[in-house]
Amino acid sequence: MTPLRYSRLLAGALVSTLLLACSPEQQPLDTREEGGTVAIGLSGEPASLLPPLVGSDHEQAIVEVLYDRLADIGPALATVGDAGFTPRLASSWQWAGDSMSISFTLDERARWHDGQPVVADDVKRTFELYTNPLVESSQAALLANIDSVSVSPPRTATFWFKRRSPQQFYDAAYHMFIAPAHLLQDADPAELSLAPLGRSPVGTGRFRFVQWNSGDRIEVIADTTNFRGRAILDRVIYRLFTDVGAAVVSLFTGEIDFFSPLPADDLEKAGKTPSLRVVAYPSLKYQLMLMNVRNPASVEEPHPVLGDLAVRRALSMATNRERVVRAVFDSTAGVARGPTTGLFIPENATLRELPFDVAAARALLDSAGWQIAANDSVRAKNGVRLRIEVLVPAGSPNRDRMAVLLQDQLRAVGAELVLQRLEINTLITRLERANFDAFMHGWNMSPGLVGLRQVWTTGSFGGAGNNYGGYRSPTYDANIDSALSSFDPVVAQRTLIRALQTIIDDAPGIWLAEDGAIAGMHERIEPGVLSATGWWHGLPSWRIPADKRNDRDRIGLTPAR
Amino acid sequence: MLSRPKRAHSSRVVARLLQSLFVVWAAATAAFVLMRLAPGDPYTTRIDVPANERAQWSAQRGFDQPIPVQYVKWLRNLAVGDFGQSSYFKRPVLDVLRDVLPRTLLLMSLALTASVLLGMAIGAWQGTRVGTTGDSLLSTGSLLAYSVPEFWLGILLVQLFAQSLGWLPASGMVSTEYEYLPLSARIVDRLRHLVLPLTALTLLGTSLFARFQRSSMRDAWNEPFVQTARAKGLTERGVRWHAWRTALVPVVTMFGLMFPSLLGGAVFVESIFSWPGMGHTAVLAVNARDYNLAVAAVIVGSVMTVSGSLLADVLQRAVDPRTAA
Repeated sequence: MTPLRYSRLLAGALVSTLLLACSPEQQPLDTREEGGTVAIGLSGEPASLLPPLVGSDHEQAIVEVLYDRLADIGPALATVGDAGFTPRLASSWQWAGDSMSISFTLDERARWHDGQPVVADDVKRTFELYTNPLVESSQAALLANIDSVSVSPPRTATFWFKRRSPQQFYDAAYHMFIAPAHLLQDADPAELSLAPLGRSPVGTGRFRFVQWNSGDRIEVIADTTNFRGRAILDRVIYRLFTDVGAAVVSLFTGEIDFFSPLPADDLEKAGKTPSLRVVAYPSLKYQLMLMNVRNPASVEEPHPVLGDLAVRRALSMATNRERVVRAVFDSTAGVARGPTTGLFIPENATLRELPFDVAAARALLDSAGWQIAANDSVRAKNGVRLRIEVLVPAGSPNRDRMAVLLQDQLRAVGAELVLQRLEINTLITRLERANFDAFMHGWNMSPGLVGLRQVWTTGSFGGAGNNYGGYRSPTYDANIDSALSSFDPVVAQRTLIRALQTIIDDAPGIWLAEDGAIAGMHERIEPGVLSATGWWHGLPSWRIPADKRNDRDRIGLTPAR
Repeated sequence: MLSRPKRAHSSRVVARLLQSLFVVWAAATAAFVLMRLAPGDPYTTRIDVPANERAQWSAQRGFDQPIPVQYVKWLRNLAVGDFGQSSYFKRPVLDVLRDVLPRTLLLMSLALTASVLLGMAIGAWQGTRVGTTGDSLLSTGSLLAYSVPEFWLGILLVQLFAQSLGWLPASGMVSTEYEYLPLSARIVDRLRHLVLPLTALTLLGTSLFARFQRSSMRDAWNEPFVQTARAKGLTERGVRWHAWRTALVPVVTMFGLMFPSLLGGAVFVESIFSWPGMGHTAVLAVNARDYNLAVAAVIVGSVMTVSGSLLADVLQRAVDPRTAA
């Protein structure tokens, strides 16, 4: 055979291969209600899928469909008593007469994905791991009010509490995903991350684990024999991206079906892409410019500029928050009213916010002695200039844009904002040493409102919590304590409103955005209502109508080749 | 018994190996110390956990101990091949490297091979036609390619070939459906995913090699031995071959030096194309203050640097035996 013939044969074979590779296999039309495969983009790779080690959103997104809590929080995110909670791994529960313990009875139908029955020992072992300091679980602090867990074999686990609290049911049922004790019996808490279960999870959720190709994907399929019924989708493939930009491009090109949060810059394009749908859902995150009220040189003394209440209030009043939020987030976020999202502010609350009033802000500064000297554009008092260094996390474009807008707006009242963009570790180190003036901050609330205590009470300054700005107000502390400890919903609501009003008046931050989250998804997906606690919350109920399914949906439950 | 020249050669090799070992050790030590002097530790970014609790975790792992104490412990473990745990990936560092390093090496070796072959071919062609229109066009083209940053080129390629034209996948090493495709389609799928990152990495290398090869070929082309070869009646092809062999030395040196620098380029390219390799992992490790993984990444980088340098030496001697003397 001549070389030419060889090359022709080779070319023919290559073309045939390409054609074969590109032509989809003919499949019969799938008319089942169940079915479909969704490819979800995650902007990062989980470190472990072992419940006590879960920290990031992309870990939570997968663990929540593989494992179960004892009970699930209701859509109103109520955390007082057990109102609104629905059974998950526990089929029922019983409060002790003195409310110092709650006994959970596990669903007798519940099985681990390896076929073993779920027993009370699983709950006990899970609690031990979550609270063992050697495990380094980020949830451990949230379980501090639980003293111990005892078991009555085979299926009753009793939580014993240190003190009565309106949120003790929430503490026991919500913060932990129950892990299989029979696969963790010999695990060393200090080396828990090395347990095989971390990369090959065995849960009770409506999806079961299939594979984890490091750096590429994690796959789960519907658990067809699950005690709560199988997931509607056949399969979910989580594609792991090293970069948000790459994930967004893959959404536009159809390589993935779902990505959230979609950056605001890509919304317009997503809206114009016929194959995509943009879905907004509530978020528990708010953003602010946090002000340090303590002197960085001596934290017991007030900050030379921001320790002055008049300055903080004037800066808040000089900020057109509506304009800042619209410029940065367009319509995807609201204006924050205080240190929480609107979801947690009682509907009947009439909070007095500081108005946007530049003239009043100037007058306030004048009356407080902050004057503009001739030939200067920045106010000063007793030789101290109204100059504020604002720390901005590098690589956080939204916070950067907000900081630039604030810089511009506050110049109008004679305040000079100097933006300092810092690498995240350097930034946090400075925050923890209280070595800063102001910081473009964002905080993710949890349903229990513990954030209001963790971020703003006097006791949470200096390492015990996240009160970096050193805000101190006995009124706020007392009210928030009552709000979080009162069993009377009316009292709890009234004191929460008082606490919020106190902190709004004290202005330890300029409340900016109350984030809304945006998901971009393929138009064939019907996800139902996306939850504020995470888009993944209702994943087992997502559906793809049979008449809209594509080749990806026809992968079905078949194992990989 | 070894003859004197052989003995001298052996001691040169041993000295070179010791020198390489020193370079790797020095780089690793510098990385170890600098990482610990940098603000923060592996727990700093877990901001949802109170600082006191994080400090307790840090102490549990010994990060609060003096740097020399940590260093001795690390060195002792390293001596038995234990790189420690990755605090970010919660896995042994060696497992992480085993996953990410082959991906980067695949990309780099293909990019380097393509760059060398294309660059040498283009440069050699130009070197014998200096001043022609073709030479000017190619010189301008290679200068342009050389001045384009890899990350910008990567973004451009994605915009054009993945987003606008839809011809090639934008990211990842394989498609979402890869596991469920027949073998032939899998091969095609892998190749399709290689095209864009490889192009981004290759273009810069090609222009660099072409410029070096052109310059050295032009010099060789004007040497008297070329005239002599012609006078002896050698064919033009034969003359070119002789000139090209002489012109190889600087290109070979460049080959060795380019080897580790591609790792730097891979950092951007891996991020843009979501290629989960060593470059991206190294950046992640530094940002997350994953001490063990970051130092291991530096060790890998320095091993590649000294290997590239050794490879350049070996190749140099192969193409120019005079350097062996």
